[in-house]
Amino acid sequence: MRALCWMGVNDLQVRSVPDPQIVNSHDAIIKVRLTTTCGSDLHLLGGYIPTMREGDVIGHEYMGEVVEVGRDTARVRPGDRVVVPSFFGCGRCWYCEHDLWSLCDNTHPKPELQEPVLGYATGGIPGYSHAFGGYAGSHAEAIRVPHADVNCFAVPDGVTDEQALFLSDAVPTGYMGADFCNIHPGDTVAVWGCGAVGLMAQRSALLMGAQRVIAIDRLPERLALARERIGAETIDYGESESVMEQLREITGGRGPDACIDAVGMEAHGTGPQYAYDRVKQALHLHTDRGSALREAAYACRKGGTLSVLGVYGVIDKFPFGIIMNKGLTVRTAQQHGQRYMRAMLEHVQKGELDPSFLITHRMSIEEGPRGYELFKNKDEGCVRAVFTP
Amino acid sequence: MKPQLPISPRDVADKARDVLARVRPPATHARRSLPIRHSAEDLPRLWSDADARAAVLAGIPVADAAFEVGRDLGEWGTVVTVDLQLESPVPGVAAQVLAGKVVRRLKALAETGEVPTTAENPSARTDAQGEAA
Repeated sequence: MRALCWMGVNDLQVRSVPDPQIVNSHDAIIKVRLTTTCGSDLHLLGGYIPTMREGDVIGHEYMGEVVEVGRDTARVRPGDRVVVPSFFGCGRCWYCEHDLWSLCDNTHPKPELQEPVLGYATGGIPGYSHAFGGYAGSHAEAIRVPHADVNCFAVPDGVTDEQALFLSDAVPTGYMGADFCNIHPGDTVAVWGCGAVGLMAQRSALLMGAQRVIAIDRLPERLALARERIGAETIDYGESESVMEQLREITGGRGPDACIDAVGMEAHGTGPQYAYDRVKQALHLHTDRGSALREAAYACRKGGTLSVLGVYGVIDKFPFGIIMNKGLTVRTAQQHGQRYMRAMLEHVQKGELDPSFLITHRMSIEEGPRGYELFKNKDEGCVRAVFTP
Repeated sequence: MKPQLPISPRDVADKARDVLARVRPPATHARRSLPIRHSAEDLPRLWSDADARAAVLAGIPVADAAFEVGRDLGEWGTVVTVDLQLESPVPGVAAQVLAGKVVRRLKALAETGEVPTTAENPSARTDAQGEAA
């Protein structure tokens, strides 16, 4: 089959690779119908997440049709149209049973690559480095999904492929980020980042009862999406003299009740702190540029919630005193998509949530390298490039 | 002309290896524990099953492997400790890593009926067929 492969830093190529096989008895093979770029893939492309190997198939946000199942699958059948959350769960360990699916104990084939850094390994995710499991990714004609009965969710009639696609990662990540904020009626939630995850966090915060959502970014077309598609107020940090002062002004001087970082380790910013991050990252002295995270912690009201959705590696300049002295609650995780799937599908079916507007570019897998180039450079207003294998 | 460093990267690596060896001397023995959600009575049977042992110890350079069932941690399961005797000395950290891999595989097998793997993983590597975790 054809697949989009990581061949080195900033080097993606479409190659012919072997078809996936049923290996374990709970596996399913999914014929991929749609698969999309994700901002976290850019960290792989840029070489900021180690343990990629030349030839790895990337991609972790996808939907498709079941074409083959292992002998011990019971719920999933060939012909099912399904969406699969990006992290695999087993459904049996303590973490899965407590709806903490991305922390699954039993789906990471190579925990020894992650434990030295994290202490304990997460669940496995396809197409996202060997430190995260090494499973082949979804930017291919087909993908193997372990523990299919708990990871494949049937897409109901009335939900399109394009809507279902983003229930794999962008929507549950944003939805979880808003859920972490424990939103009360009247709350103001500020969200750093107007990429797909940020936009979905904004929409989810409104669905959960936030009175005002403030979206912060620098790209005019993305800020326009936040205003027009979500109903958020916006701050262009590239034009703002002080995001902090603007947020104070908007909230009557008290600060947002919750701040969501939907940016992560490759934040852009302004000022000397951003320059410091860029130099250290370029010299491989640390992996992360944490401008958005620091600003979100700083801007949050006393006793508020800092919800971190951005992906981070190793950051060594993190202002913990802000969190401690202001009594912030920090909530963060890789997304637990299985936990939120039923609620997300209901929102889509009721017309309360339609993530399909995130698709700005559609192309074949063969055009994958160009899709990532557009996505990385945010050219042509690219929010998400979606591939049809 | 290529500038000469006062100390070469190889010297630095050798020094680091020496320091690590002193902190964690080479070991042939390692133990790791994890709670497993499986019938405590059935765990010894699983450990003694030839197919299960082969799956759990695949690729581990082990001379001998022992197993003991410990205390009950309620909903976390029963503490199981794997005790490995390796064929030859490896850095202490590596020995612990190998023991951790074995006990995690055993946990996955007991809790889900299978060991997670990337065997038969599609990739553009020519040597990838049969690739396993």
